[in-house]
Amino acid sequence: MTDPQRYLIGIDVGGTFTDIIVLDRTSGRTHAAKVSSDRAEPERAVLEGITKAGVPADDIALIVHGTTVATNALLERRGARTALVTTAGFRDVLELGRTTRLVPGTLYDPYFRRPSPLVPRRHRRVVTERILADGSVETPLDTAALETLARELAAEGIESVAVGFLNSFRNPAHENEAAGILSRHFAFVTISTGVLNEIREFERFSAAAINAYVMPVMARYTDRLRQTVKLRYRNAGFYTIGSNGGLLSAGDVAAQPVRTILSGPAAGIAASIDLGQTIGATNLITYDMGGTSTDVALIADGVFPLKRETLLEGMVVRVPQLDIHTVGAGGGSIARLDSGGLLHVGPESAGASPGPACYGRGGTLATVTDANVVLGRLGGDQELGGTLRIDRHAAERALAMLASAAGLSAREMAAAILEIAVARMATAVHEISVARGHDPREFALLCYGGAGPLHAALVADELGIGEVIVPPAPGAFSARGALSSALSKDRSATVLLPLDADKLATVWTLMDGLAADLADSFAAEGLSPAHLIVECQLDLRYRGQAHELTVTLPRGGEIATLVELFEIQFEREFGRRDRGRGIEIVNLRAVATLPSRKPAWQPAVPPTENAQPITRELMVSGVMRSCPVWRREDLRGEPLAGPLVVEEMSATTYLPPGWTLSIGRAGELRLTRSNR
Amino acid sequence: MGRENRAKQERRAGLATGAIIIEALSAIVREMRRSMVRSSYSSIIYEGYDFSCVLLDGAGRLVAESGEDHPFHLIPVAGAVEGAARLHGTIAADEILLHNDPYSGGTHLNDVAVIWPVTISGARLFHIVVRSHWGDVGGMTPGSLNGAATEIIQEGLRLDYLRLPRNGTSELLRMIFDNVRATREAVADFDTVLGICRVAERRLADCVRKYGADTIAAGIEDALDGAERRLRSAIAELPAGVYRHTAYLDGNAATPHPLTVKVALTIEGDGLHADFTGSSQQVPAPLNAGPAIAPTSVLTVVKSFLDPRGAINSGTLRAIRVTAPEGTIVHAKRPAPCGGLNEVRFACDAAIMGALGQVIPERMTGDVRGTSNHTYIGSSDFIFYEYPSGGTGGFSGGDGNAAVRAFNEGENVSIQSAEVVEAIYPLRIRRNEIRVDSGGAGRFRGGCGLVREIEVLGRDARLSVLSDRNIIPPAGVNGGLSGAANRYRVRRDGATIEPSAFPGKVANFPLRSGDIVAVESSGGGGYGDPLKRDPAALASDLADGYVTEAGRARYEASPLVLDARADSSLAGNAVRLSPATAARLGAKEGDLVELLRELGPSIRLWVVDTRAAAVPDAIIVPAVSGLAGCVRVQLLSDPGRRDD
Repeated sequence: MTDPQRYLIGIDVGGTFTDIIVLDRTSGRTHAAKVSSDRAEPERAVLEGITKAGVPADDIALIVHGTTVATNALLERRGARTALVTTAGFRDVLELGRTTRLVPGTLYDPYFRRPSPLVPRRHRRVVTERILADGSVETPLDTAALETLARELAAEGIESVAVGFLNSFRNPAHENEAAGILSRHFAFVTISTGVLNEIREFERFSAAAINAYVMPVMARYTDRLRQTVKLRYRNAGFYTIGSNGGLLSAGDVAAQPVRTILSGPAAGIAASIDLGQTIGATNLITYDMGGTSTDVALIADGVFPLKRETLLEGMVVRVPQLDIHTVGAGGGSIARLDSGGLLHVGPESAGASPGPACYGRGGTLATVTDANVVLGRLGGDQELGGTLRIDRHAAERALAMLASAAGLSAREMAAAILEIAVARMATAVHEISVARGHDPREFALLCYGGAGPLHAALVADELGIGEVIVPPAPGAFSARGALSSALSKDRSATVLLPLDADKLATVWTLMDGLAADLADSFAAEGLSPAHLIVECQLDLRYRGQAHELTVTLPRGGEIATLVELFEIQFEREFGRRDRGRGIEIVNLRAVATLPSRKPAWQPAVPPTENAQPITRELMVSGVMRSCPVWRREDLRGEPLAGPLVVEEMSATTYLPPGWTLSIGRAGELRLTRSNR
Repeated sequence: MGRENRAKQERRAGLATGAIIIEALSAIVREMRRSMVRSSYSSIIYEGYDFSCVLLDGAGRLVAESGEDHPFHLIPVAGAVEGAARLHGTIAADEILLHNDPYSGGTHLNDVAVIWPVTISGARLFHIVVRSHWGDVGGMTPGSLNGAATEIIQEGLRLDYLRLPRNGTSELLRMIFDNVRATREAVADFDTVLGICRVAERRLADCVRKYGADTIAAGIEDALDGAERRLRSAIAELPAGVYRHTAYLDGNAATPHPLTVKVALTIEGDGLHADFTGSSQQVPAPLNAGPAIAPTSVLTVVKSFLDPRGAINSGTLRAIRVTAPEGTIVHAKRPAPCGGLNEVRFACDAAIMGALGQVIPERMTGDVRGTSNHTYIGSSDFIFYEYPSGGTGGFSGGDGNAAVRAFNEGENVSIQSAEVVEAIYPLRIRRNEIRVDSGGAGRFRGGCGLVREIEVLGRDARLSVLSDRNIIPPAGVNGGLSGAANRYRVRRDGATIEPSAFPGKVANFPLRSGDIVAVESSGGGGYGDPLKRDPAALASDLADGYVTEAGRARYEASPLVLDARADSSLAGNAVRLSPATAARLGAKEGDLVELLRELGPSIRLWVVDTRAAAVPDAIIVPAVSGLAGCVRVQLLSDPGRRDD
């Protein structure tokens, strides 16, 4: 018997592997699958993954996926041939920006080459028109010239066009008019106010250019995927997770692919929030350590962390997206001594090929992973990812070479490398917590990604964090996140009003307008807006400042309440209040979400046999000693004291002395510090 | 001493300790930087990022920065605590210091440093320093900086390590704020800085609790020692010798033209000594710099070309030695105005690049903007301030970038969003585009400058500019040509007018409603012979319009090749031409010509005589230039004749 509501499928398309998780609503069980990603045709891996899930096609209710298609097109510059049409006099805004490099770590570099703009100068064209700062029209749009320009661009093989006019955030009439004309010549047209309706032309034109650049690539990908899904899985809804953690419909993705740039990492955060709700941990710091870098994010009170601007290879991406902090220290980070005798770890990485010396693929330089092998925390007979056997001798050779140059033993060098790597990751956590007014001791560290659980307790020790959580199947964690998100859309408008009592009515009127637009937009996709939850946000700042803090506006809230909410947040971030200064409303934003039915996390299956751990020599507090090494599936749930190691297919967990391990209600490993 | 031996140098703490301590301290500076941007009230801070945060240890040694701070804010701070101690002996735990005095280690008066000592358990462990650009510090023009000052008193208030209570209330402060324009922002941002220092002090206390003061001290020692050894080992790889080069500033109407910065760079073993003896005497014009600037320049350039990823701290500073004679433009005394210290610093940079360009020519780049381009449009109601960046130099393997912060300029934002400008000032931005054909031609082209046109809407506005290299453009290297010089003009009723008699130095030029101020920033110098440019790269430049048909000639016609003959009686920057040569070049007396070398920096010479009796193809050059034989010669510009 078929049950069209039975299965939910979450998919995370990564660089190397595409992870699939299937949730059976009838039994509450999940199972994971893995297929190789396909760079050239990423939709093939997704479809193959769904097939591999092995469930009846008509029983699939929902398919949600996190994708890096737009990200890769952007980073690898494989997007469409794109033009930018802009106001006469402003042809080069996209290239000049505000004359900064926008690439960290390039100060003092005389050979710095600014990443080339997405739209080369020859395809940046101007048209006569001018809107003034108050929104009035100084010079009407020269529509005849635009017609001619459109034909020229089409003849030059342009596929996608972005339009960015000065002051259009005050009055989008010319952009709309231009879009009308250009749409007769091009299938893909983006206007700047359509993706970012805010002041600052460089940010707005950049958002438009990025969107236009990835739009055809993303459209081809989602069209093929959507059509096949519709054909094969006629009962399945199909969504993409957006950079802000909300689900995007296929229509949203087609119009605003710029909103999927951080789709992949957003899925992991969504999963973290969901798991946290299940196990009663709403204050989380996520810690995703990969081969070349580590991503950390802070979740306070179960709220998805957002920031409004991200730097990406010399581009500014100003759309609300995951606030994630990346540090160039991962398992593959190379350790080296500089000519002054100082030890550095990263940012150079051995990557996947040749990889750390212990991979035995020809790598000879010592990495963080090799240091773990030398200290016994990684290795033995374990096969990394189920396929890769660790070459302990290669790791020791690499460490010994480096160590002799510094007059140390290989183990001392390994310990020093780990100290630096852990310190750098702890600093990253410090910067998203302490530096923004959060006490990390009030958070649990949730780690996923292959190398995370190996270092998490050490990082926690550095920060005084008392609890570390390793979720079940850390490798497929992000795929699971795709199933934890709600449908979401947002609209914003720049208002620049003083925050005072007689403006509040205006604010609500405008906000109601935005909310009505959102409801219409859901309705247009055939979704009932009846259960829509609309959150109203204000971007506020003290008058005279340039950067805003986002405050959620409580319905019927008094001015005094709003001022207090803003000042509490300001004080948390900056350690002071500038009392008595006027406060200004910069932007209004309505965020509408349509909650989905989230799958529940299930407890771990207890082991049937009473298996015992093996033992291995580990470096613990400077000496080698024999310690238990468990297989994760053999853990029975009674608390175990460190030092010990837990191994599973996709990850290895190290429990230092002073820590206790137990199993939580969703099958997660809970590492608790006992020596507080 | 080999690398391995150096690496085994004595350590005071564990191998990882130095790195961990510096990482922790740098994180505190990064937090300070972020908080400044996000909670300040002056557009020069929150839009322009014209400030830096630094941590010094108890002894005043520079130990940590954010990685995004401006070298010229940062490096002079290394002398601050010593300077204050000379004046005051000790500083009490409840005091802070205000400093901006160029003569005792400051930059220009607008850069005001707050120095906040951190005392923990009775020990002076750190000094927090925030140096930020104040919109105005008094003086003769809105914004304070201007091209016409003849003594420092016209540039604003001098603050020489003033002691203040750290609660921010004092009669002295009241007096300061009564004597600057844009007082509201100044007061608000002074409070911002104090708030940020207070938070940083808490972070430092946490850090000391976590690691212990002794471990921190040992880690800092190791980090400074390591940084010194690292830079020394990079210097040790260079061939020993003395390398000389002279760079020039335009000067202004009250000074000789040009002003010179001379350097003799001695490399010996793992040490480097830069001697600026012979540079111009200080001038009654804002083209002087205090004693902190020459060392800043030397360290910035040496580190950038030898070890761009190395640290900037008091350890790296130990690896270099600088001699800058007092009373010259590189070590000015009272009452010389120092508003244009950056113009002097860029000339120092150019001189050192020229010297290094003889040691490692293949690693040298074309020169950069060479000035700050301080541009003020202001009235009693507002001060609009920008400092448009120029193109960067070409280098082996790559063209320069269009108008962007260069390697020696930090990451300050030099132009504001046109929409923000139009929303808050009575101004309208008419143009913000790349300045075509401005990049120095070369096998690798210099980057283009930018063109910015600003329409004035209100009445009573005035224009003040402090800019250099409006006459003497950024030089190319290894045969590459110069970029276009910086240029300032005003368009009124369809006509173009010069806002000052001497280019680039403008004070209080009265603007009318409807006037358009046109700012053109310089292009970067080119690298290598333009005739050797890859034809595909030239075609691409033409398609993109970085080079127009008019600019194409410089890639197709070779400069004149002449026979250089040395004359020991000629001044170092003079050249004599025969009438025939002068005619072929189109040069007359007073003109600037450039001699291009196959390898190494270009040499700039001024025509003093066009009647030299010599063979037609010869050019008489000063013996000290060391030039002889075939040289390519290019006419650059004529300060008396404004081309268009």
